[in-house]
Amino acid sequence: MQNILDDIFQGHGPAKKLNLDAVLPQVYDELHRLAVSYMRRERSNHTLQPTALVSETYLRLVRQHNVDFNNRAHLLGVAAQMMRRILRTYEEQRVAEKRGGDQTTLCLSDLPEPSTKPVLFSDVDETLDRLLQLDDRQGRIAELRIFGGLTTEETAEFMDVSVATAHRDWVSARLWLAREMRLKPAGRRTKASATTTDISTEPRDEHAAGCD
Amino acid sequence: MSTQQGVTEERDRWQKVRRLVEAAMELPDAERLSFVRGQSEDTSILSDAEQLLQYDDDASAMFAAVGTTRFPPGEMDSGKKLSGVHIGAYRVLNELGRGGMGVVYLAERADGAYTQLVAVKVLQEGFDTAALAARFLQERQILAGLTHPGIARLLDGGVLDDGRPYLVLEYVDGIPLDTYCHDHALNIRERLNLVLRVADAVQSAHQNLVLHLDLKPANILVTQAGEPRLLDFGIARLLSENGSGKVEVTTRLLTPRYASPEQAAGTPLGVASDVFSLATLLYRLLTGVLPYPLEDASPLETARIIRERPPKPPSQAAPPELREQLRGDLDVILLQALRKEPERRYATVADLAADLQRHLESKPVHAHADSFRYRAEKFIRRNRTSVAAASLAILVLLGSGVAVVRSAVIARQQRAAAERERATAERRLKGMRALAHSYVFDLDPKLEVIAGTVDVRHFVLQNAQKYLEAMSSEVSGDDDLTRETAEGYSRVGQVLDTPDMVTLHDPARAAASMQKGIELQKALVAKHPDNLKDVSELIRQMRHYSWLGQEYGDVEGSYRLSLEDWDIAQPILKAGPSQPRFEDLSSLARDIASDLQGEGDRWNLADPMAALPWLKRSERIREQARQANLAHAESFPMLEGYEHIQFDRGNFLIETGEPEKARPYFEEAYRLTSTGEKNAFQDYDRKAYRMLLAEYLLLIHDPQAAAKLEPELLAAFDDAGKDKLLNSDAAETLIIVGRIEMETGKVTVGKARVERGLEELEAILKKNPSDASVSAPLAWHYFRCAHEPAFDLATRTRMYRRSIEIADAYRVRYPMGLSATMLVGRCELELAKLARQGGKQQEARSIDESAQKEFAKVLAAHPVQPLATKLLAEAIADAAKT
Repeated sequence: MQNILDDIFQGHGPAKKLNLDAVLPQVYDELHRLAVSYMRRERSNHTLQPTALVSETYLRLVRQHNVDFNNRAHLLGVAAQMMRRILRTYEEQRVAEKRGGDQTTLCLSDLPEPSTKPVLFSDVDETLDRLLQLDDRQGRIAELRIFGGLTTEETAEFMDVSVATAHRDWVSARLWLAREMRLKPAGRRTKASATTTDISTEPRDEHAAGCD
Repeated sequence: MSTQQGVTEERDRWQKVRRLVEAAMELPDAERLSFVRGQSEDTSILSDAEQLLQYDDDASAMFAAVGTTRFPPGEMDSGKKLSGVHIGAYRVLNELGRGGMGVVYLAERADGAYTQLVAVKVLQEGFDTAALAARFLQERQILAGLTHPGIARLLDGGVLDDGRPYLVLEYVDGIPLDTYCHDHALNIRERLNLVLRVADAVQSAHQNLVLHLDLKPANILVTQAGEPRLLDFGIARLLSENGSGKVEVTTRLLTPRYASPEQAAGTPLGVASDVFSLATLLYRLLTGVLPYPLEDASPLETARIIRERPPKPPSQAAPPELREQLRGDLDVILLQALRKEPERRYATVADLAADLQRHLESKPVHAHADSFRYRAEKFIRRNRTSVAAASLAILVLLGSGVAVVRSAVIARQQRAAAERERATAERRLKGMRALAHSYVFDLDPKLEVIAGTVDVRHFVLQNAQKYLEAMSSEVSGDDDLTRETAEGYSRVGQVLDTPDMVTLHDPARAAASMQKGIELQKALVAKHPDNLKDVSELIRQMRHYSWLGQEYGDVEGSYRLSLEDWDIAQPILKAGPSQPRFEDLSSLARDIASDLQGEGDRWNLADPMAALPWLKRSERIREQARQANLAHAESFPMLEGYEHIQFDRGNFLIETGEPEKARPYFEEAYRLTSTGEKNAFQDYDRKAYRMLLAEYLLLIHDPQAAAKLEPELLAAFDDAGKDKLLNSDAAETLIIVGRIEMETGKVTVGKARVERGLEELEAILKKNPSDASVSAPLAWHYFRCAHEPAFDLATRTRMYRRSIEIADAYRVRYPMGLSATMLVGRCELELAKLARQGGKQQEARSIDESAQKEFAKVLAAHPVQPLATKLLAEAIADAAKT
């Protein structure tokens, strides 16, 4: 992903400054459209890779606006936050409309190894909220990484902290999140599918080759 | 303890834990636990930290995409850091580049023995998961096994002091393949020769059970001596250790533009994946473009396009001056190598190379164009609910040409075959070659666009008829030829006229052609009653013929034909859902139901109770087919057609006099059209069901709900075009939108729209007065519009009368089309009410009596007809009021 982004930037002429405010509504629309269309398309098997959606959105904007490289972290950061909000709204709607069955699952990995497992969006969402309670900055940095795929440098830039701080925040946050999600008692889940999504069990068949 | 206090304590505690954890994570894996244990914190904090550290692997797996620290702090520029450093016997000079998982440095041999430049590939810092490291080591083993001169050699390998593995590779001083071709202005022959050498290297790797999986110009460097060298077996894996020939590799590290469909889909990969990528590369070198337009596509779109979009023949993609050279062999070779299904490509790179070689030597190539059955079936599967199958007809028609050519080629090769057979084949060949050619090279791209291309169809038809005439004289005794001819006649008929589709609208010639086909096909079935394929083809042909009857209002004829068809279908029904076209029988049952009591806008026998069991049969067969296909796991479009079922249920309720109960079915039918694959057919269905839903909402007096659909309705008819079908849709939309407006307070605008729509339909009917697909909807629209109280009495009366007129004109020809009789009765019932309002009691009474006769006629034919009964009662009651 990183390489593709860089390729695209190199392929462009003199970059111009992007007016972030002007494109944010578009970022939101685009993300929303993509997310919804993926939900529909995947029907029986909603596994979203939020970072892929964010970067796809980003690429579209880059092409349209010839974005200034320096703004990338900001744009990605805002998109990451929007991504989470969109998924949450979708999930709330789903619960409210009592559409049973398919909870939204996320793929937070782009590695080919079959060991990577999809996780329930609602688990990620809830666990992340608790991390925010424990340490606000850590929680926000984790949010940026999980929902936007930002790198250490990008999270640092977005949060306006040093790279070392951003790195440390993530080093412990990822361990904490992994533990909390794995130890999550099944009873806390909303409805159905605890078996299909319990990350301590083997991955579902359809994900055996990764999350795509 | 207050909650607030609890939260604060939790936070403080976490700060202590995380400090420990973060410090420990700076240390090598093995030292982390002992480090934590040696700290002087509370034991509960220490054990918490210890526990967290054990989740390192879990976290790596879970957050592999997001937890990758690409450039850990303080090590931002690995190239500079390593510059001048010794790696084994080599000294690093500078960074050459970064790949998906490693950094490549230029280095030189430093032991002074001799000067040799090498490329050193080091696992990138930050990519520190065990899985990646293992893969890196695997690459080392793979490369050690490859010694082909076309592949950059592995010279050495090892592990750096910090634990990162590295490889030392032969340094190739060259330029990427595409740049080389361009800079040296190589001609097509030269380019082919270059790619043949690449293919040789790839083939050699395959023989060592190594796939490349990332073939692209940048990975193939051409040296000054003009030798191509393959680099970067970075994502290759040992083909398989168990000899199954398949290997599971799903990866996003690959270069999507040259990826195979199975790579894009993440399914198991074999040598065919490299065949595909190599063909993509060759395509690019020969035409200057990729087989599909990917320039503006994002990675996700790219994957979808690669999986779904058929490639253009290279001769069409190339600049004009090159087309002639590519047309023919190279088109066919590349299209075969670029097929979506791995098993339908060349089996090996060597096979592809051999065909390219044959082409260079002007020998006949082994590749052949896609078989028509395959393409047609695929197309049908994708578009089962389809409306514009006229294009399909052409596709299949022309495709069958290709099949004939192929059989002719085979026949030609068998010199020992009987002279007569050979002569027949040659004649077929002659008649078909032009057709086959136009199929593959001229028409296919045009057919991708479904919209009305009447010129194309005329062109097709001329060729097709030539072909049929040439063949029909040969038919006697040759079953295969009979099959082809029968199907050909049927297809020509379809192109000439298929209801609800954009066709040439020539029913007489269409019927004649279809009859000839059915006659031949019936003879075949009589001769081989056990050949279910022949049976299934006969069913198909008869269905098309019956649709034709239906379009021109011969609902009784169409019904009888469909019943006969149903009898013919029994062996397939008995054989069960494993039969390839089993699910067609569901549609056949639905055809029969719709002759008995279809949607209001089609003339029919007005017998809903008789239709009901057929609707149930249709549903049951569809379900059986679905179940069976679930087991096969082949992508059966589960929801396809389900909207029709919903609609039928709703429609049944309307036709039996209970419209208010039908709402959920109409809404569901419409909703279902927004699911599933997006394509022209789906889009058309969606428009149609949107219209039906809006009309239904008006029927049950909920204009506010209908108004919500208005913007989409209006937008939808923008694409009304040159064709009758599209125009009549647009006119119907006008009418419905106008009625919505009239009922939601926009009376003037609405009226004008309704009137314009009706005029438009009148004009279409005038062109073809016997077209029942226009007369039925028009008559019904008059009937419904006449209900609008915003029209004055005279207008409403005129509308009812015009409706009766149209229905009368129809039923003179087809008296069994009793839905027309129902309509006449209903119009009269309303006219009587209007007359009564106007104080004309006597006239009202006599009209009511006339209406009674109409309903009685229907009941005489169908004693159980709830709606007719209800309306008859109403007419009697009304008459009694005077």
